[in-house]
Amino acid sequence: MNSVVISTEWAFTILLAFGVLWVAFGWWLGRSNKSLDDFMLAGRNVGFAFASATAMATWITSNTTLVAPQLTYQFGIWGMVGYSMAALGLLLFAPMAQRIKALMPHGHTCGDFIRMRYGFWAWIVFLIVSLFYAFGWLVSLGMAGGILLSALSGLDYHIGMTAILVICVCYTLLGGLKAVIATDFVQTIIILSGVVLIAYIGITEVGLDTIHSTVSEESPQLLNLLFPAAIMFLFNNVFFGIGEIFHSNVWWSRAFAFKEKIGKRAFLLSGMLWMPIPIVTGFAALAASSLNVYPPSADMIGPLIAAKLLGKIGAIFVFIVVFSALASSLDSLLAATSDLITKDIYKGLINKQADKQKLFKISKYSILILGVITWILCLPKMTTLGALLNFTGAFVASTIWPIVFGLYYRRLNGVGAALAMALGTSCGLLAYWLVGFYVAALTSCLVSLVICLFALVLKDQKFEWKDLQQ
Amino acid sequence: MKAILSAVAILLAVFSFLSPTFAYAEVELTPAEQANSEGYFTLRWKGSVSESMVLEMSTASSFDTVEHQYPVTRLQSITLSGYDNGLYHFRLYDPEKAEYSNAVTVSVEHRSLSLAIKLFFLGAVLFVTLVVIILFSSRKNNSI
Repeated sequence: MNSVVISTEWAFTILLAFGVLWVAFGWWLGRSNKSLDDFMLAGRNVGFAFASATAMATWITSNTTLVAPQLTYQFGIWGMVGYSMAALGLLLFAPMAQRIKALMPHGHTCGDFIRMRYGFWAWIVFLIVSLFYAFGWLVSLGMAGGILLSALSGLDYHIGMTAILVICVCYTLLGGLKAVIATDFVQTIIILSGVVLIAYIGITEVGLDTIHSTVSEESPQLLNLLFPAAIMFLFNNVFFGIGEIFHSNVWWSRAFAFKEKIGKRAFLLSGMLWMPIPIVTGFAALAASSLNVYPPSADMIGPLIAAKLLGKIGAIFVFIVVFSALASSLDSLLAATSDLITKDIYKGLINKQADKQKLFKISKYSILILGVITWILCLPKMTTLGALLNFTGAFVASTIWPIVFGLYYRRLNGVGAALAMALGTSCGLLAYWLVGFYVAALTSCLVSLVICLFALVLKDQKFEWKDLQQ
Repeated sequence: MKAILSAVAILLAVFSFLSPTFAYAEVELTPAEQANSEGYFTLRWKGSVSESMVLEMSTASSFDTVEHQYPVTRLQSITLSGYDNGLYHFRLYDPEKAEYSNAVTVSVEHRSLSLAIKLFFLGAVLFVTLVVIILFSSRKNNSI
């Protein structure tokens, strides 16, 4: 069996067409960016429709288009359900977005919050966690571009990976957050239409009865609700998703950028709309044995199934959908991580006197440097997407409690928050290596909670909320 | 520039230690065995394969009964999933040349169900606690 379904010429043509389209769109939108707030936060004036679309599109990424099928292929029913639970992160962030905007109407990054709320050392630990996660996600997205092209067109992994990075870096550089949000809106429409079409064709072509009987016979564990590793994975993925959203500047920058009182409704709507998508994309993986498709690597299963179901034209369509999903996340992450580097690392640690024009320039350099570093890290393709993403789970889940307690309670102090993040991450990593990737985030979150509770009991910081409005 | 290169080197070093639970067996001419706790695993081989080549699976090391045949790709690996506890034997077969590769063995033994259920309930309690705290605190702290 040969997995190649699109010719190299077609793959190049699509890449080129979408590349030119997104970059031109970014340039057009970026013409009106005059200040740092315009570039970093789209003028803090994003309305409900764009706000909901960008939140949803950003969360539809390699997670939903490549990793949800991968985890369904590995963990069966629980893999699919577990991935859809990542929507809980968006839903729970909804009330927090409102609180963030109220506490810090002039804030720029989540790092600002941690620094002002908990002080220097907690801020440093948080930056390490946050940057490690950002690179893990960026690398997974670059890798996903390469895997997608390799699975569908047989092109070398490095070409696809390089192409998606170059395109996203160019339009984010030209348009800033405004371009990111506008392209996300268009990409959401493409992704939703594609996912619905693929699911419809999958169910009508193969049939639920056939899928059920083939999986029961060939891969019985995938339908077993008492599949041990999959049971462990379920809540681990919930905390991984929550940790990703609660700590990441991708979501905080949106909370700052959305208009007053828009954030809560936008995050709730995007969470509800997102929840069924991993079920649909993951479900395709259950049809693998019925279609006689067995992937070389688990993260290739989604595109291979879709290509098998839809043929050459379908494969082109899948290519466009997944490419859009990857781009919508990659651009957001580039923009948000560059904000963190500009405001927290450059202004916070290197040049405290930097004015807004200087920061505007640094923000652009940061996007470029991030793109180059990601490209270098993507070159060796060291692991599968699922393993890479879940590795970062140990980091992000440790931030959940320090952020929640920090936003709502005055008691938690900086030492407690720093220890909770550092020890939570360390124990999560130990669990990753000793047990498996499917317990890392759960362990990290649990240890972090225990430390936060100790800190809350031992000392009352009596933090003044007004200090956050500086 | 030096700082950036150092950061990249550190990240590369850390990423290279990933995926400890993804054990791989190699289906080549070098026999391999692997133990597995999740029921999914990847088999690899070297050299080019023909369109007709298949991967055979049997629970008997003698391959008296081939229980399944999987199509293989030119990408020199295959990932299979959903396996129950047991010992499984694999080999590549080329029906055109009537040639076999060496055989490899995968041993699947799933993790303890009682440990999994304990972790499930722990996760559930942690999650309910988080939801209650966020909803209660958001209602209580409408203004700063």
